Amino acid sequence: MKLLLLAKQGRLTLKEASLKANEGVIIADLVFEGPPEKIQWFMLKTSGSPYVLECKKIE
Amino acid sequence: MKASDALVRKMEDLGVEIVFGIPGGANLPLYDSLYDSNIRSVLTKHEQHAVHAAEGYARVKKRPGIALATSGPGATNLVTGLVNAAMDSAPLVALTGQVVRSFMGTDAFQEADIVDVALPHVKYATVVLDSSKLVKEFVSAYKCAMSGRPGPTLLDLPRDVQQEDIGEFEGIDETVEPRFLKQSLPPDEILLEKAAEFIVEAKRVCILVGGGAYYSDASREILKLAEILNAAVITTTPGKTAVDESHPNVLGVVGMHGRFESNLAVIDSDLVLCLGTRLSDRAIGPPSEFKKSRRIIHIDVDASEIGKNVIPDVGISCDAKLALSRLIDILSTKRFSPKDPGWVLGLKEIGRSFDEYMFGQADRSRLSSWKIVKVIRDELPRSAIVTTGVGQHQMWAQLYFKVLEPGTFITSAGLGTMGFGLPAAMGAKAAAPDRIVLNMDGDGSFLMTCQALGTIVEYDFPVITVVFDNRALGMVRQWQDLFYKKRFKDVDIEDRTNLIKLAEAFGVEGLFVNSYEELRIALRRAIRNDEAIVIDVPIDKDEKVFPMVPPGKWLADVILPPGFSNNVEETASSPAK
Repeated sequence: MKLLLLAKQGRLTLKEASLKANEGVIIADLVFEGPPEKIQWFMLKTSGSPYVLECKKIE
Repeated sequence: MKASDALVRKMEDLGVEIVFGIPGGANLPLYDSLYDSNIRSVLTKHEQHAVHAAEGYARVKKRPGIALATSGPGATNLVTGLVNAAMDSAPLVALTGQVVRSFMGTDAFQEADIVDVALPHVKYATVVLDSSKLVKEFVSAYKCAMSGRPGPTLLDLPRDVQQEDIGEFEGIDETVEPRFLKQSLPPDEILLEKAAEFIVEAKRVCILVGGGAYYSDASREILKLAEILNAAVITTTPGKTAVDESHPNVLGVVGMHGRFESNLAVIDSDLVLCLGTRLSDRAIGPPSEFKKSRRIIHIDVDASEIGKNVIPDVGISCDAKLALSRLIDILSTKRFSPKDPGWVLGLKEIGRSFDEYMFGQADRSRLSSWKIVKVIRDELPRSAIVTTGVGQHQMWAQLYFKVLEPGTFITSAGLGTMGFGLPAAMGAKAAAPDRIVLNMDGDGSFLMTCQALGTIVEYDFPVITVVFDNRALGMVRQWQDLFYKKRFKDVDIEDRTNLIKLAEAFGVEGLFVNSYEELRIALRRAIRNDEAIVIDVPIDKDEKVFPMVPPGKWLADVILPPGFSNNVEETASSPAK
């Protein structure tokens, strides 16, 4: 949820999402699309978030 | 051991000495655990007071303040304060009670999904469903609040989780996962070298100080660099508290209601070094204009702030103090001709003439807000902490109240929360009981949280409140005056609420003053006796805050007080009108 809210703040579009649950912990693979500068902001913003396990750029 | 007992014990271990909040059905186990603790708990009159007090405490102590609330309305009453703390990057932890796990999702009495309500605005929020993880979650939330860029966190605690037996305290897992801790990395040397090159080439350097510089404790480095470069030091509203404003290089707050000479400094500069600031529109105006004609170096501990509003020529993600220390080292190895000291001196002179003009404008039949602020500054000790509400009085304070020691000016900058001043002052006094704490407030702002006076009396937090009383929502009125053809709508407060009797009803002395001398005498007595008082100072509702840059306009489009611009055009070389 936090990532979706951050993406909304950055005007990014959610392109793909898959959810898994592991002992009550939700693990989400999310793919967002947006202008390069917004993607860059999003990656930097999420890098400081305790909710993010990994964030990478897909060309 | 009960989970809430373990939580309180861990809070004690971490040095928590005070919590602000209100008990209710869903957080009773936690309050029961506090009964046997040395942690002081302060019962506030409203949860909003608790969270603002926690923020006031945090801003003085530079460590998380703690706010407690029960489920439902208790938790939702915290929201404004949480967003306020997020906007101003203040560390705090909110602990909310929640209905028991088996009732969650049933629209039970006083059930609200506070985690999802708070989530967009906090660094971390979760509902703790496993009592064995309560302590670990608290340690994570506490460390997370302070790690990297400070901010609020929230833990939602179902009542049955709080009271569950979790075994021996010694066996509790409290390891903090790395994802909660933002490592402070050293600055990139190549980028620092590039920044130094630009600084060497620049002729007129501005150092724009944000609130991050305060948390970084970078005051000494900022002033040292300013002296080396003959630079103008200007600040954002949250950054005002980071530096001694009596220093010869410090001009003051910049932006929409910035000091005239600070805005001129930006306009006239060819390089701005931005420290620990998100470069809000309120401080810099339109980013395109800010970027035009000058180089920008941006240093911030939060990498996502770099390039968010302004694309800098050099962006360095690093703690401000760390980066400045290295930058000073690098500059000391370079040969460059000294920057013109006359630039800052000239700007200072413009500021002095502005102040002189404003004082000259004061109508003898009415009290001038500028002079009221001056009396307050004159009477307060250097170390006194000032908080403010939000509105015109806040802008007069940021324009004319000089911070003499870092950490002595606490205001709601980003969110602009009316009612912030009094509860924040209470928290500041709790953090610094040996220092004088004064809340500058407006009548509109004060009346939003004035019940905090009751807590101030009960817990002996002697806070001085000075109410700039114009019986109006002055700032909104000013906008209706300037931008809505004087069509005043719902800004004049017609009631005659007696602030003196109101203060007395809470057990605080109230005093109406009608001259600067009466104000001075009242302040001296309150300071000498360290006693709570509400001083009601009548001001004219037509008095405006100047300078003012209209929303969306560049700093050069500043509106100055009528009659002042002609005086300055002779001395200022800038394009300001």
